This record gives sequence, structure tokens and C-alpha cells, in this order.
Amino acid sequence: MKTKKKKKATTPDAYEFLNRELSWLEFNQRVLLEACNPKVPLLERLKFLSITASNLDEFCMVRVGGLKMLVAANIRRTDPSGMTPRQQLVAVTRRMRKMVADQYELLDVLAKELAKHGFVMQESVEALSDEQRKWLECEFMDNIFPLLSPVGVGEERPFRPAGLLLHCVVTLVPAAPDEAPRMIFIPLGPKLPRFIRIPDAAGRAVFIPIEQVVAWQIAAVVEGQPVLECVPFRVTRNADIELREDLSSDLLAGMQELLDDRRETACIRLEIHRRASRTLVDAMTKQLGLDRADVYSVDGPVELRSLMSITQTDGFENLRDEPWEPVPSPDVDIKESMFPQIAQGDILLVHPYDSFDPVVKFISDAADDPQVLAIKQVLYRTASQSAIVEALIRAAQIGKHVTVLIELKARFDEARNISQARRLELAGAHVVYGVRSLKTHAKICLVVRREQQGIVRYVHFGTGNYNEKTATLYSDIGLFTCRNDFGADASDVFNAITGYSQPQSLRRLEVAPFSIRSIILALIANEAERARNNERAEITMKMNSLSDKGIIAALYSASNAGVKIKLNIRGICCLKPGVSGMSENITVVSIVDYYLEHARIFRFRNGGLDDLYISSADMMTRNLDKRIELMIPVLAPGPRKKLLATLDVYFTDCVKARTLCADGEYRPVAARGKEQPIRAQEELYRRAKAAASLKEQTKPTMLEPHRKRNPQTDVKL
Amino acid sequence: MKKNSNTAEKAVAPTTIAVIDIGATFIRMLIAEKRDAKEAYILEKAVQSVPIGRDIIVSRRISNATVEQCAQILKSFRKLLDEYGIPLGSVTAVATPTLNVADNSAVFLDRLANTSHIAFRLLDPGQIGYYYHLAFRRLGKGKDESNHDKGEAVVLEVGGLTCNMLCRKEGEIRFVQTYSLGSLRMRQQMEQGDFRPRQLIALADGRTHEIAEQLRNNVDDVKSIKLFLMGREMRFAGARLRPDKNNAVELDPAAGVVSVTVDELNTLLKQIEKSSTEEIVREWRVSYPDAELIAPALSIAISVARIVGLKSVYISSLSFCHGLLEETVDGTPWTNTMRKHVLRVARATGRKYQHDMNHAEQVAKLSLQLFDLLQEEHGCTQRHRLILEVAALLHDIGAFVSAHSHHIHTMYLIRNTEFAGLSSEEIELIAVVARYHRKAMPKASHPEYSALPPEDRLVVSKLAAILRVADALDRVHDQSLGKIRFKLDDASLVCIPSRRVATSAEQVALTEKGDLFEVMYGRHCYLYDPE
Repeated sequence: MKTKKKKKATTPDAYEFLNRELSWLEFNQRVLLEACNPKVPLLERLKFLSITASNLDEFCMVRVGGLKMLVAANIRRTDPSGMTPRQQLVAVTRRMRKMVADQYELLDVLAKELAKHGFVMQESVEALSDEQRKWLECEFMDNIFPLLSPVGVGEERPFRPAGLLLHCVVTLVPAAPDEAPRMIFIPLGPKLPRFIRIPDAAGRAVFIPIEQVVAWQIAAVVEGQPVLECVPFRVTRNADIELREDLSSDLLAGMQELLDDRRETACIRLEIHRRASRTLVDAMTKQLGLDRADVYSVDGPVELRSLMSITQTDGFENLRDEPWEPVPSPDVDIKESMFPQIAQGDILLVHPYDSFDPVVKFISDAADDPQVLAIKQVLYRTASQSAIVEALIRAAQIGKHVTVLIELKARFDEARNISQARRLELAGAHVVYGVRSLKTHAKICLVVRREQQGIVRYVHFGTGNYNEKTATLYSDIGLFTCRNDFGADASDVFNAITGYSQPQSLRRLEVAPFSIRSIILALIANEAERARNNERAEITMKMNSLSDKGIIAALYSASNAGVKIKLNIRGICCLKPGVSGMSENITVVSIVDYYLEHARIFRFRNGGLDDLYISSADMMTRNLDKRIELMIPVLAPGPRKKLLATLDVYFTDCVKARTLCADGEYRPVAARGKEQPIRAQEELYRRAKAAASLKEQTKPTMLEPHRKRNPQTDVKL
Repeated sequence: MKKNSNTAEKAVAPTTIAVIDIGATFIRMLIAEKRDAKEAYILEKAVQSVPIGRDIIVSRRISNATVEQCAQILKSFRKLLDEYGIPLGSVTAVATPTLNVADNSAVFLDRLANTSHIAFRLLDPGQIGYYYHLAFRRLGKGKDESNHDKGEAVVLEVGGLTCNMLCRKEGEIRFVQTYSLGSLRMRQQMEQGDFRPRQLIALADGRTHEIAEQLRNNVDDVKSIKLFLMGREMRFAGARLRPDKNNAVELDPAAGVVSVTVDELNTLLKQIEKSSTEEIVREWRVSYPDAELIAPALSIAISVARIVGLKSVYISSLSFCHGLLEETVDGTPWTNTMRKHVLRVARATGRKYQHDMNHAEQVAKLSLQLFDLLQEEHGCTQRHRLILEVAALLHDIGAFVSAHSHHIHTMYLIRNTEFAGLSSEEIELIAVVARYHRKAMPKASHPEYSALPPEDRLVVSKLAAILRVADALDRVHDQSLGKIRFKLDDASLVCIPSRRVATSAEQVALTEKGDLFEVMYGRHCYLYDPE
């Protein structure tokens, strides 16, 4: 009894944590709730639905795959919440089934509502007019049939359907009554459209899923053999294979093997249309090496993430949110070189409200500026046709020293990253393929420029990837600076990750896996100490996930000391807030809205000094111990003011915010009084626009004639 | 306005410079920028552990694997140098004298030069102390610096194979010394099981007596000296004892210097002794090879401080690399500081051997006068000028041993004098020039002469020719000729004294000792006699 009490004071007990997987599923549930939200326009809701499906696919591949491996290896070690892998797998599967049922129920509702607005998702070919069917038959024969390649399968003819790819399975009437029915798989490859838009006399947008068309024309596909049934299905394969770096002498070759492997790994889930007969499902599970428990029968289109493609359909603007166009930051004149502007003082951008253009411009300027000696950058996830990568290639080609660390271990982006790495290398850049046994997740770009008064280092730090496509969808913070100490630290970081030097002590930056954990713990302890001395003590943190046991324990202890802790956590949160004697001073809110919340911002009151940081790291064990991450103090008054104001807005939201309760449930935040309820993303957009228009108004009224540009003289010294 | 434009004109374009040093346990590079004549602003520092010292202890040679590792490190350093466009020829690259112990040190440095196109200079022990002296000047640029320049300061660098000591008084070098005692050597003994880890201090005590003895004999008040500990392991310890965001792992160069008590160091040592190397790697966030050396290095430092009777010491973030940078900033390796220091040592040496100081100064003065007059002809550098000056100051010290063949005694006394900052080649040059101040002209049969590289042989002849003339002009050691003007034409050198005195002795001497001058410069020497 006594010992137990003692233990409680140091390490929290199991019931004091929420399970990480279930917490993630709750996040997906919140996205699903946005899809259910009648206040959200219909096509946006359809988009959210498709996001939940694609999220769930990834979760299944990585997390369920991982759990299954642990169960298969008979590992019984419990997680912080006290659950064994098997218990987690059972709970997760139950939760997923409920979620899948909710998804299809919602799809029905949305389809009915959308149909009222002339956006018709047709379930079957029968519902089409004769004319439409005639058109569809031609379409099938011309554009679909030639792309189909059915494969007969059986015990002696194993065929492994590709993961996440939609297939149809056909069973043929056996030639003799004592024979088993023959099975044919038809992959519906990525070259085929998932939904086919049918011309409509009434001007409606009518879509039909491809598997329905194939089923309708199945006779043509199997050349008239009698068909028992034709059912769409999809398998999911385990993707939780950590790269065996040590075994692979050539990392690049290793990565390609891994990608090939991913196609070959074990099935963990079968989704199949409910109309499949029991015999067929049994045959399928046997064929794929699955249990009945891994089968998800769905009543509707198998695979919902492709719904995203039809949400882009032209027209129907009344069914969408009015797009929030990124606003040019008032702190940046995009027509001028970035360097003198950064030299004027640090610049902080809040994306996507502040346009991402200055970041692309920064790298592009660096490539073209004759005074720039070197560009060094970490790339984690890049866009497919990335202006940033193009600029780096251009810089390398004209002989600048370009060093790029491309993280080949960035999950699901490996293939793209390999091809980008090859192109950069061909251009003459020095490419590093990540760091042994650590994923490089830091977002940093360093430009070394020779100026009249000497070498000046310009650095961009970010919380999000150098990906101009996702930068319009993710909310992130970026910071430009040319402060000496930050520049010197940036050089040291690159020298360490390129292996030029051993990691050294840094002046301003904190780096995982070396110092972020200890500095965060120290900062939390410092607040706790102040609270114990009856000082005001506050911690405000915004991040995507909080699951590290050590950090959570420190927050509990700070809460007990009296520190007011406000957390804004979009996704996983294993901390149980509001439990008396443990976390009554902690509140956790989550915002799921138009943009994906992605910024990491940390504020520690520190007696009123307000230590402010931005970071690439979430408070997850893997980020703190197994990745190279950066935590950057924000020091300049302007950026600090802007960042503090931004952080505050996230805690005023009462439209999209939900509060985490001690039971793991998320409940809507109640609006305060009669005030106009604040929606954080809308408010941030409004502020960005207001700042930009203020700048516009105060601009001198001058007409700008187009002048011939001369790159030599345009460069400012 | 005008003033502004003037200063703008004066300001030189900043240049990037780099220094690389190979030590017993690591290779390090500093890239800096010369922004004005005073300071080198450090842009980047890269450092990697190498097992050179370990190899040397084990087999007296640097293993092929280590050679390869060093070559790879230099390759990566080259990439950084390229980024700043620093020409490889202008990189100051040095190797620690301990490398000399390795049988294959020459081949090793050749291999590095071949891979990296950077030529390494093997330093002499005395030079390390000198560079620490220069590095110490950087502290002078900090705020509280005047304190450190006052009184007596002892810099003790605890290295892998050797300890280097520098004693400064009022900002000048007092003496430098190298001891063959180091963290790697101690570690090696630990691994061989000669003693238990807890006995480290006792082991160090047995070795540091020599250091303490020297300190007691050579400083004014051993109890009031300031002891500055330098070296990588010391910086780790400093950062550990004075944790600051800015010195997460190693004492930040910007921090300069911290003061710690010997008791604190001792507590730290005890903590380390209780931990495994793995724990130190994790907690201190240092590399494995570094982690192993912290305790031995600490025990040496603690032992010295205790034997001398100090309660507190300083740990400095400076390394002798910073001294190399200082030298580069000054433009020429033959800085004024260096010249002043070398001359001070020369004069002290002269006094020690009780030479005729006035004569020595007169000969030195006349030698420099002739050197400068003949500058266009001999084309020698400022470095040679200093060699001549020292040779002139010390040419007669051999008389301390015996008047007979005193030039030979002079030669070996100079050879065995420690001039911090001068390489052994340079000291040899001084010794040989001084040796030829009288008697035979340089001959191929003289081993000291024939052992020199051809270009140095030529220098010896050029400088000795001048020295002999200067010496002849004060034949009677009474400076009776006073100031002398020289007139140089195509066939003769005429020496015009300012005083009218009997000059017969000098005239005879000049005829006799002007021999080498006539050979080297093609001119006969006359003493102008107004009578």
C-alpha cells in the first residue's frame, strides 16, 4: 500500500494515460464529425468523409499492422495505458468497425442531400436512363475494357492483390457440379477513373462507381462464361516495416527494396461489398490468409478516399466553403529580394493565412543571387513538381554549393523522394540520404551569402514541410532570420547531419534527440517551481500529438504544483486532463477545421518573460528520441507578438474546438455569453487579411511602370 | 560625410580563413572571417574524434584504418572550405608534435596532403605554448580581460598524449613546457589494469610532481597564480559545472572562461567514476571516445591544482586553434608579438650565459642595418631578419663554456634553448648562423651546414656574411665607433663611423671577417678613416 502511494508520486499509474491508438481514432472521429456537421457545406462534408477514409487506411496499414505483428510475436508488454497489444487490437478493431459503419451511414445521408442539389452519386447502373446506359456501354468498351486484365486464381495459382487497390472478384459457375467455382480477380488499376461521370440531359452531375460498371458488363470481361457473382473488394497490407538500415549497405537500394516489399507484405484487412456470398468471403479469406475478424463488409462503394476526386467537380460552388486565398504577408514584399528584407529583422509567417510564396521565393532568390555561396536544406516531404526542388537543382547547376538532406525514410513518400534525390545529384548537389537510425524531420533551410561586410547566414525554420502544395492546406509557422547565433547553429546542425562534424553545443537551437526532451522537461519544471513559490505559472502548447510518458508525467506534476496548462492538440493525446489530484489544471482542446492544424508552438510564462518556441517536433517518444527535430526560440519582438496572438486565438475557438474529457471523449466547447462565437481559423484568416489591407492602404500611392529587369543590378548589396 | 567615405575606403573586404589541426584524439577545423585587422569572427567549427593517440600508444604507428578515417574527414572539411571559396593553399593546417612519435608520421601527413591538397605543418612543442599565448589574447577582447592579463597566469592544456604548459606574466610569455602525460596515456594504464579507476588521482599525482616543481621554481608566487585549464575534456567539464543553454555540451567559445573550484572538479570526477562510459555518453552527450577521456583529464588537472595548492581554477573555452587564427589575422606568421617574445627569450638567454650585452646589442643593431641595406640583394624575408637578430644577440654565448671554439659552443647552446613559437628548423638556422660568426666559412664538410636544405644553406651564408662584418665593427667590444653609416656601391661597402677614434683593430678584423661578405655580395669592406 505504502509503496504504491510512493510510486504514484513519481510515475503515474496506467489508468492515468489514454491509449494512443484509441486517441488517434478519436481524432479521426472528430474529422468524421465535421463531415456530419450540417453547418458545413455538403461537398466539404464529402471531402471530410474521404479524409477520414484515407486516414483510416494509413492507420490500418501502420498501426494495426504493427499491433498485429506484436500479437503474432506474442509480445505482452503493456503500453502506458496498461493494455497489451492483443487488448489494444481488439479495442481498436471494435472502434474501427463502428467508425466504418458511421462512414457508410453518413455517405447515404450525404448522397441523398447532394442529389437534391443535382450532384448525384448513383449506386447502380439500373437507375440510369436507357440513353445513359447506351453511352456508358460505349464508354466501357472504348476506355475501360481495354485496361482490364483479369487473373484467374486458385490454390495452384496464387495471386497477391496490391494493397489499397480496388479489385473485383468474379466466381464462375463450375463446369461440373462437384467442382469448386473458379475465381477471377480483376484489378481496377490506378489508370482507371474511380467514378465515371455520365452525361445528363437535366444538367446534373451524375457519377457511377467503376466497380458497378464492371459488374454490369462482366459478361464481356469473362467472355460469356456463366458468372455466379461479381463483387468489389480491397485488401490492406502491413506497412509497419522499419527499414533495416544496418543490413543495407546502399541505403537507396535498400529503400527501393522496401517499396517493393511493401507490395509484398502480409494482408491485414479485407473490405468487401456486403452482397458477397458467405462462400465467396470464406474462399477469399483463405486465399489471402486472413481471419473472419479481418473482414469488413460494407454496404456501398468499397474504398471511400477516392470521393475526394469528385468533390473537385466544376460548379457547385454553393456546396463548398468560400475558398480562403492565402494573403501576402505585410512583412514581405514579394517583388523584392528576400535577403535585405530579412536583414531588416526576423520575419514570422503564419501559413496558410500568410502565403507560402516568400519561402519558395527565398530558395529561388538564393539560387539566382550571385552573392549566395551555399544553400543547405532538409527535405522531408516535397511536392511532386516542387518549385523548391527546381530552384535547388538550378542553383546546383550553376555551381552553387547545394547540400540537401532528403529523408528517404519519410513514410509513403519514399518513391518521390528517391527520384528527387537522383535529380539533385545529377545536377551536382551534395545529397545526403538521411542519418543512420534517425529520421530527419527538422525543417530548416540555410543560405550562406557573401556580403560587403562579410558572410551572412540566412535561415528559414518551419514547423511544416517544404511542400508548396500542402502549405496551402496545413497551418504552420515559418521564421526567417539572419541572426548570427542562429546562423552559426544552423551551420552546426548541417555539419552534424552531413557527418562533417560531431554534434556540438548550440547557442540558440535545441535539437532532438539531444536536447529537446531535456529542455522541455526543464522548462516545465521551471514553471512548476514558480508555481510552488506562489508565482503565476502558465504553459501553453500547441502540437499535433502528445503521447510521451515522460513529458505527460512532467505536465501532471506541474499541474499539481499549480501551473495553468493549456494544450491545443489536434490528434493523439494520451494525457488525461481535468482529473483531480493529477491534472485538474490542464485543459486540452482540439481543432478540426478547414485547414489541417500542424504548427507546434510552445509558450512557458517564465515569470512574465514568455519563453516562446516553434518546433518540428511533437511530444511523442519517437519525435524526441528517434528523429532529428529542431526547437527554435522566437526572440524578435514583432514575431513574438504575432505568434503569441496566434496562439491565443486557438484557445478562444468555440465553433470548431472540442474539449477532451477525462474519459477520453471530446465534447464541443460551449460558446461564452452572447459574444459572437470565434472560429479560430476564420479569425486568423480575418486578421491576416486585415493586416494585408492595412499595409495596402498605407502604401504610397504610386503607379508602378513595368521596367526591364536586370538581374545584375536588381541584387541589392 | 567625408569621414565616412574615408573609413569605407580603408575597410578591407572581409576574407574567409580556415585553420585545421590534427591532435592526438581529434581533427578540428575552424572557419573564420577576417572582418578587420583585429579579430577573426568564427563562422563554423567542425570536429571529429580520431584514434591517432591510441594507435601511437599501442604500436607507435598510425594504423591504416585511422589514416583512411582522417583522409575522409579532411575530404568532408574540403567541401566546407569549397563552400566559402577558401583556397586550399591558404588554409593553415598543423599537426600536434605528438604525431612525431609515430614511425609513419611523415607518410601520414603526405597521405593527407595528397588527398586533401592541404599541406600540414608538424608543430614543435614550443609552438603549442606560443599559440596558447596568442589564443589567450582573445580573452583580452572580452570585458573582464584586464584581470587575466595582470599577474601570473598559467595555461595548462591537458591533451591526449601530452600536457602543454604556458606561463604568462603581465601578458608576456614567461616559459613554455611540454610534459609527456595525457588523458589517453592514463586511460591506457587504466585499461591495462594497472590500477583501479578510483585511484586515478593518485596515479596523476605521481606524474604531476614535475609540473608542480617547475611551477614553483619559475613563478614568483605559486599560490597566487591563475591556473587556466584548456583542452576538450576540460571544456566538457566546464559546461557540465556551469550549465547554460549556450553550453549544452561543450563550453561555448563565446563564454570565454568560467571559474570553478577544485572541490567541484573533484565531485564531478567522483560522479564520473561511478558511471559507466555508456551513461556518460548519454548524459553528457559526448562521443564514446571523448567520454572515456574525461575522468583521466580531470584527474590530471585536479592533481596539478592540488599540488600547487590552488582552491579554484579557470576553465577556458579557447584552444590553441584560436591562437592559429590570431596569427592568421595578424597577416604574417612573424607577428610583432612573436618577435618581441623571441627577442625577450634571446636576451634572457644571453644574460644566463653572461655574455657582453652591450657588444651583443651593438652587433645586432649593425647586422639589422646591413640586412635592411642589402634587402634587394639578398631578398630574405622578415623571418630571416629575426633569425639574424637572434643569432647576433647570442653569437658569443658559447664563451660561457670556453673561449676556445666558442662559436661551436654557441651553436649547441642555441640548439638547446626553448623559444616558444619558433620551430626547430628555425632554431637550427639561428644556431648555424651564429656558429659562422667567426673562423671558417661554411663548408660542405661541416655536418651542421650540409644537413640543412639547400635554400637554408644559402640563407646561412647570406646572414653569416652580415653577422661577421657587424661583429668585426665592434672588435674590441667597446662600441667605440658609435653609430655607423654604410655606403654601398658596386664594388665596395664603406663603413663610416660617427666618432673619430683609433680604428686599427676594427680595420684588421674587417679585412679578416669580411671574407664571406666579399664572396656573397661581391664587395670589399672598408672602414672609412677620416684621418
